[in-house]
Amino acid sequence: MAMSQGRGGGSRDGKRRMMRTPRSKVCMFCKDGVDYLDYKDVSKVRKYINDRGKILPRRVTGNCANHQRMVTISVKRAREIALIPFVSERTV
Amino acid sequence: MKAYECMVLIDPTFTEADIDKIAVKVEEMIQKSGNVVESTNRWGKRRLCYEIKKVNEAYYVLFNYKANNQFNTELDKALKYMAGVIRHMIICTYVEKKKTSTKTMQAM
Repeated sequence: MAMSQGRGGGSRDGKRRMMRTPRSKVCMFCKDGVDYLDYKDVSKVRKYINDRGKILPRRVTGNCANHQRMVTISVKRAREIALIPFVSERTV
Repeated sequence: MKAYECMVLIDPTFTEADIDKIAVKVEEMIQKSGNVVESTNRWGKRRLCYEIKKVNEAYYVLFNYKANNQFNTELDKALKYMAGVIRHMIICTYVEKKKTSTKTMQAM
């Protein structure tokens, strides 16, 4: 494993490395002035889980700490009453 | 008195009449101890995302009510042992916070 890493990873010339300018993410809840995500609104809650049913991290959603906390609570409530799955098998 | 909401999942193998009875029973239970039922919302049968007690479907009923906190533990216990209820959840209803600007805060 260490061998293959040594071969493939080198990019001393800098050609491979994409110089990406970081996009500044804005919390969509702050932007819209929304204070609450209803756990009964399945279509909205589903936006914050991935195909395995996991909660998306902050670095993906771009939420602020307060709103991310609110999202996790809503997702966990929706899970409890079986509106969204705890885990879902990947369909390949 | 605080606003709460209670979601009840009822076994779909029960007949319509029985499901109705359970919903009315819960409603009465809330009203009996001097609490106020604001609305009951019957969602009807829905597919569950995962199996609960060997069933894949459930009849969803949502109650919005105002009650004391002590009553919730009572209701929680009653629903736990009620026949036909496969799952329930009681939560505090979200109340919009009044935003007070910094200026008014300073004035106070």
